[in-house]
Amino acid sequence: MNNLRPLLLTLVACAGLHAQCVPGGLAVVVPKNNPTDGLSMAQLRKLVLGDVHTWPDKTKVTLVSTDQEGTVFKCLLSSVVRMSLPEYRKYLLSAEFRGDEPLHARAVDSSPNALRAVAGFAGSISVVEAGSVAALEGAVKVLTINGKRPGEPGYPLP
Amino acid sequence: MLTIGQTDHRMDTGHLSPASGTGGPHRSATFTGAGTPGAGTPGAGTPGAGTPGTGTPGTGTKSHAVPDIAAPTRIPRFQTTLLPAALLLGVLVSGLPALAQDGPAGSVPVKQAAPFTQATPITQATPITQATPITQATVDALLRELAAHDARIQELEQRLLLQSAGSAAAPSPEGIHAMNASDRTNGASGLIRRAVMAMPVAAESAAAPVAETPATVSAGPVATGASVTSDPAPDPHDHMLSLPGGGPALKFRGFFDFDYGMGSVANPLVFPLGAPAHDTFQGGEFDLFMSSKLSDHFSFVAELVVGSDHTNLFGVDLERYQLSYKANPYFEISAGRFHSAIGYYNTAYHHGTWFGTATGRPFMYIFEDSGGLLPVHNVGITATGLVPGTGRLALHWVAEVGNGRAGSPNAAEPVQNFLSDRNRKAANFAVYIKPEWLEGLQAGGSYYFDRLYPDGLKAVDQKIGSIYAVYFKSGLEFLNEGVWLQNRSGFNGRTYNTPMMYTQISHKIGSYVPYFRFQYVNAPVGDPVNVFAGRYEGPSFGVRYNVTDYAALKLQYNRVYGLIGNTVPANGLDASLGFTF
Repeated sequence: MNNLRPLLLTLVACAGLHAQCVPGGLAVVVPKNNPTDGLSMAQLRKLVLGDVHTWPDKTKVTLVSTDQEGTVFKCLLSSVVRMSLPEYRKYLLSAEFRGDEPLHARAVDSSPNALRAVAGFAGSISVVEAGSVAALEGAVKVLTINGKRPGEPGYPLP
Repeated sequence: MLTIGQTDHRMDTGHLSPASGTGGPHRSATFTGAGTPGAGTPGAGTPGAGTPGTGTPGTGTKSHAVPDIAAPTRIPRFQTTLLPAALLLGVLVSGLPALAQDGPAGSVPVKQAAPFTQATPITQATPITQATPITQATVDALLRELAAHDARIQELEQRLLLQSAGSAAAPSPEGIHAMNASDRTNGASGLIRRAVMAMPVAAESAAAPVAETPATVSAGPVATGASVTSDPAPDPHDHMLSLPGGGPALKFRGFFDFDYGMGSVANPLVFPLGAPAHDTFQGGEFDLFMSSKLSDHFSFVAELVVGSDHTNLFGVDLERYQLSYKANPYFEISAGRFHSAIGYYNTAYHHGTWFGTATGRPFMYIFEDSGGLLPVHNVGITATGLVPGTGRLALHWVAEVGNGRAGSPNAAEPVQNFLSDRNRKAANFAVYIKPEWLEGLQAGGSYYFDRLYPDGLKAVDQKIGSIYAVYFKSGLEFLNEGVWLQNRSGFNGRTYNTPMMYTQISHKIGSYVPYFRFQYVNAPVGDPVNVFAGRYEGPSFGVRYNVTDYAALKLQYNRVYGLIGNTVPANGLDASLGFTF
């Protein structure tokens, strides 16, 4: 059994590395004045899919997404909504085709720019690289997911 | 002409403006980008410099309509950078005569200016008069000044950003509109610069009532100043029409499919064909889907379909039109022609076959004018919403009232679009859940009732009950539906029951989606309302290949047992190319 332990540890480490598809992991950010402190994974999924359109204060939800072809956004899709980019686009289109209110979203090209956009726009939400948050920590708020902050054990985002 | 795989959507996300510029329809060219300023050079993809009518559709030029709400006044960036450039140009032009005196025109060697950094100090350029001869040193000095101005602008923008971020301000609509899909092509600095430059003063905070709560909420101030509307999620295939000066934008999208069918049960849309089946190329439905957001609460969607059938004639149908008012997540009401909330498939998939995994709808959901049994369309009012307090169960309700289908099975148009053949209206109620604790599951049921008056017969009470459970997760699709249609004749007192069901499973493997469907419909002979009578039962299996993100090639084999008049099972093979454009 002791002989297997290094192998198991290696496997666990590899799994951990694989799960963290973005260096430093992902963080969910909203403007500092958003009254929301945390979300469940299910709630985050609904926000990303456009199933929920308003915050509790009735502010419109706007998803600020990093480059949709980029690693961060693909990581978000695979970990939160479990879809590929084409599937995600098809889902949004399908919702609109049904007559549902479409997702309000804006695209920027990097996590720092997403942070700046979130900082300046009430109702916005973005999923960014956790390591980039420090630059605008005073202007944005990092939400807990399932009660966990980025880096804490059990934090559900990779 | 089908040009599959070509995705050159030239009106992509732009606002096409029928403005009165020269040379036909032109885009409005109010561009706030930081790209190379120019005069909207056709074909060059260069942002226009604000001259209406100078951008030409089809050139790939990105542009935006005038923002809905006036933004804080600021000098556009291209003006600040153009000013020194224009100065330089003026100097060069005015200096040409002097140069000509020194030697032949064009003999002055053009040198590449040295690169500058933001640290370049701002210096006052040497005053230039028309008499001043142009030297390389003068050009260098002007270029240095240009770079210094640019550095100064960037520095001021950074300061403004920090101030705005610190006060958690809400940006103006311009800032948000500026962050449109086209910005992805213009670089980060330009995008953020525009967003930042558009940031006004901080909004006053005030407490707001809590509506639907998607999150853990703590007491605290809530920004209410962000009365900003942003556009829906940009998509590379969005097409938009908007009027100059405001008004709702019309977004449209097209769907089409082209098929090749072999065998009597190949056609996915029309049954019975009404003619002996031969191997046939078939144009499917040319579907134009339109949507427009009239205000925060009102929206409109419509579907205009051009299609053919066994007569080989093309027909135009306004298959769907719905004006909707959404008060909140708990209540939304629509008026118009809609797909009845019977089961799942009918409201989840409409006329664009590209959406569906298989080549066509399950037989039980075939459209009325193609021989369908169910009233899949209705003209009237439909309302829906989330049931408050259902939390993680996410229970939704649907209530509908409408004209119902025509009483006579021989009516030229089964959907009563304009005149109803009775005062009594059809009603339908449905509920469904989308539980958080089982992501991807949706389950529900409905109950529809109506009273029909077939020609020369007494009333027929029609009742339709449905139940379904569908599950989607990680490329897996699992659909299960059952519908019970009952027509009770007031003439002979007989009750005609038609059970229907289908199950479908598929799993995405890369670009391929193999699938299997089994369906069963058994309509009794003598039913006073149904068009189809007999049994339709059998498997279908096929594969969908996603050629691109927006086009799919499908190959499906159908085998059907129990058709009246057939002593052997019927077979059909259908190849379909469906796409959105």
